[in-house]
Amino acid sequence: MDSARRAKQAKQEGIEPVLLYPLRAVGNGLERGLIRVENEHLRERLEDWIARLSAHGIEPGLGGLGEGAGLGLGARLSRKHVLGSRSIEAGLTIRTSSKLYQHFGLDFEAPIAGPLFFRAETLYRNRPQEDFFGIGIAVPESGRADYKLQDRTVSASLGSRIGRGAEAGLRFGYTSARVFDGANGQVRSFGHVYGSADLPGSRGGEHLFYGAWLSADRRDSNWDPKRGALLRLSATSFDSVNHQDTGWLNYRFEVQAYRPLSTAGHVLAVRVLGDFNSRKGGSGIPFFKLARIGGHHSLRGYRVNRFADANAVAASLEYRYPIWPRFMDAMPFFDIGEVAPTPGELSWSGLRASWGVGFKVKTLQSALLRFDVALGPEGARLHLKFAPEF
Amino acid sequence: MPARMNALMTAILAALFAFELHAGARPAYCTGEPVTVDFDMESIPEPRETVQSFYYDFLDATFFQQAKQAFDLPRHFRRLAGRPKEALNVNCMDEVPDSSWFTNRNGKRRMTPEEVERGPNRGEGPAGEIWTVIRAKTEGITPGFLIRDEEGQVYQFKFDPPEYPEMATAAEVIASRLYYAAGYNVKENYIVHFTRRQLKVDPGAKRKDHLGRTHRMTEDDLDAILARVARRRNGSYRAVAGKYLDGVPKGPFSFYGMRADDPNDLIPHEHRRDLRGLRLIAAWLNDNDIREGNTLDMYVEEDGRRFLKHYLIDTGSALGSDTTHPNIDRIGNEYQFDAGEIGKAFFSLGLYRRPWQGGSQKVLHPSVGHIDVENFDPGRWKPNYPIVAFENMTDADAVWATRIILSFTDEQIRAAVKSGRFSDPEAEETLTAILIERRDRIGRYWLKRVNPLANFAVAGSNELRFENLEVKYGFAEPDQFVYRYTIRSAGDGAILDRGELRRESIPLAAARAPGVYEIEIETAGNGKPRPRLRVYVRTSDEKGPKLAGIIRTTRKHHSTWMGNQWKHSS
Repeated sequence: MDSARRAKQAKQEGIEPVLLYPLRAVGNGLERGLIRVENEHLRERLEDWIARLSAHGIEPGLGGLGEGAGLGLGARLSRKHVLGSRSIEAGLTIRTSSKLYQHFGLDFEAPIAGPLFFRAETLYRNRPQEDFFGIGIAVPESGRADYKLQDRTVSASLGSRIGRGAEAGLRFGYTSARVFDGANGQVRSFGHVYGSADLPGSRGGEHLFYGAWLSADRRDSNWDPKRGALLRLSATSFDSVNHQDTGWLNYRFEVQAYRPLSTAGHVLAVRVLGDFNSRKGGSGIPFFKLARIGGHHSLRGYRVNRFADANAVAASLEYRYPIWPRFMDAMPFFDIGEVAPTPGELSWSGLRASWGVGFKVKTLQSALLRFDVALGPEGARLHLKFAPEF
Repeated sequence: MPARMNALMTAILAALFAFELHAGARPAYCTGEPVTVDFDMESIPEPRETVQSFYYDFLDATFFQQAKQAFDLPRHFRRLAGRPKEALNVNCMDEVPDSSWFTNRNGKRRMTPEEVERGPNRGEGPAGEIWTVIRAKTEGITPGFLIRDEEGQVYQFKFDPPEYPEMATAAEVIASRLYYAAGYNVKENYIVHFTRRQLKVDPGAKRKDHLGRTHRMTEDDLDAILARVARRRNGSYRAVAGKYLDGVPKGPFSFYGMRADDPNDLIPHEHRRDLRGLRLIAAWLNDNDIREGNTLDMYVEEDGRRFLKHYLIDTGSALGSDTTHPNIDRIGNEYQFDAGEIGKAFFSLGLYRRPWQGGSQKVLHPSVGHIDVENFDPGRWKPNYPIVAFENMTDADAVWATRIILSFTDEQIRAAVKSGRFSDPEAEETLTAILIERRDRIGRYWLKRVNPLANFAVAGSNELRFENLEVKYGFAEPDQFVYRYTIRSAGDGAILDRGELRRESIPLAAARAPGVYEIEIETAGNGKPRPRLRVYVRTSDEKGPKLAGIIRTTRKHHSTWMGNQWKHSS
């Protein structure tokens, strides 16, 4: 017993409590906080608050502002039974982020007859810290400059649901954009680097557009797909309406395919993206409308929007497997991508590659977040996102 | 200069290493009678009630304590040297004295089957015909409520999920009976059957909603609770009635450290053998939810003294039950967050297949749930969280716990299972057979890894007798074992006798003169040597030789039984 008493005294009076004090203080603080969470039912209150908002058609959420926007927060207000009709829906989306990115959207959808529907959208975006590195696959990372993009879009669509998970339609609208120097003080401003260059769209632009789209989603889940495929196609024509010499045709496609390799959750996932722009006559393409790759959407080992040009292709291959059953998947991946002035100039030799591993944290009902650690010739990148994309 | 510094650092590390290896070692033998009661029941000022966070408990056990252990270099030194820190609350006979934590019961004196079945119960359960509901239960995940019986005694009622009648209630009672018989403090638990008419809601009864808001409890609230629980064919209900413990609750106890406000609490909990060995008993009972939150310190008054008594509570997740549903295959095989298993899965690119994956997850009986026997590996069993005391378990602790588990006879196990009051005899038979098989698997597994000799006694004046537990419990044949002994004088280490034999007794002719003698026993089973064991005998003029101490080593000595001789490689 004496040795036990001495051990207790040593533990209470010795150097160990002093050395561990900072950690213990953090631990105690965390413990007190968690006790409060439990005693005051803070988690249940939060869930209750979200459920009440949801009952009023408001869905709060994280992220949703795109790449490089910082930590985003926002909400979407949905209303059914608009204008006295049971089937007309309207929605208002508001999001902002730690980098002061903003997104305000209003949408409206109404059935016409059978599978036909009408959709109208208006959108305002403020993106104060967008990166631009120049045009082409060979531009150096040191050419990084940032600009602020404010754009507004109004569009209307006439579409048709053409089967399970598939729809197609026609879309037309108006978009205007303004370009300013960026807000990131650690990066050279866009005007300083590219002010003297004759870049189309360097002061923004106004355009009318019209086009067609087709999408088909045959994935078994949109947040944790194990099998199936997703196809998105669009063709859009843009014409300047403010006497700038810009006008182009844009063709985009995205294919995602998922193949289960076992019944234990091993999945091979592939995504191929294409973004092709064709100038109308001698017109230009605003630099902010060029096809871009880099960031968590395509080449993950590179900075967001690292490469830009008229045409871009990118592909990602992921092998997904569970490492913590039901709660976490690991996803080693390999990305390739390239940009070029014309589709004919896309070549194997110009391909850029990156690789890494991602982790998806999920519950039984949804994906909570995904983080990717990517490596490429320009260093390592960490991407964190809340959207269940790819 | 760098060479001198290196030498100095090496010397300091070597000194630390040597110090760590010998730190906390207990005396090899008693100078008097062995301590049978570790008297930690002195009166103490009333401690404050501690509050526990479920989330913090998980984070602490899963991450913080694991990180702390990873940086505990002396612990690594000791493990590398094969000399982990042994438990501190052990007497010279390598036994755990009775304390406010543990009372030697079946391991010391075989209880009758009736005593096992009755367990800690002193009464017959809630008294009278009409019980008053005084509060709805808000803690935990199962619906329930508190009642006051006609004698004013308070009980907590817990129920079974509708799809698995009797599963959780039987698990709660059976596991607590076996914990009790093993030596731990548990609640009085009773299986009760009642009808709705026997319950009335007290006008002052309260319930809390899921947001923690307090409301007056109504008869409708009671009906709502009962609508979520299993109901018997005749319309009555079955519940486990847990009697409120005597004393004042002071929060859960931790599986490491000591309570600062309990002067009786002198032994770090991670070095208590009763908590270290609990790992095997919990493994036997598949009590995966054993954790800080399912323990309770009660400030009790006994024999005029007021002190803290330490209880295991809430065993409804034991055996085949996970309280609201049968166990999933992971239970008992992997922590909720198991960094080792996650790492294996990650680095093998998902090719690593967990041993439990692909199991049948068969529900043996709706009242039993899912408890594995075929894939039960006593060395790999894990609760939901890592528990520091469990991770500190040494071979000596394992032998202690294994001996307790093996002390349960088939009849005693059957009696414990009977306390679950299964309505279907098949459920009772199934669970009894499983517990017997799991008991034997634990015995086979651990006794093969340790020195299986136990129950030493000096017979007459010329023999040290012992039992080989592997032989005693039928896991091995007597002729598979060879024992080599060396008798030394404990004073000067002079070798007085040595020999080799196949019977379970050692002649003590060399230990007749007054003094203390060390008898080192090496055991080989099927040619494989086991860790050495040292027994101490004190001889006096008047009484002759008497057992004075036992030390089990965990060091893996490098000798091999080669036919008829020992080959030493070190």
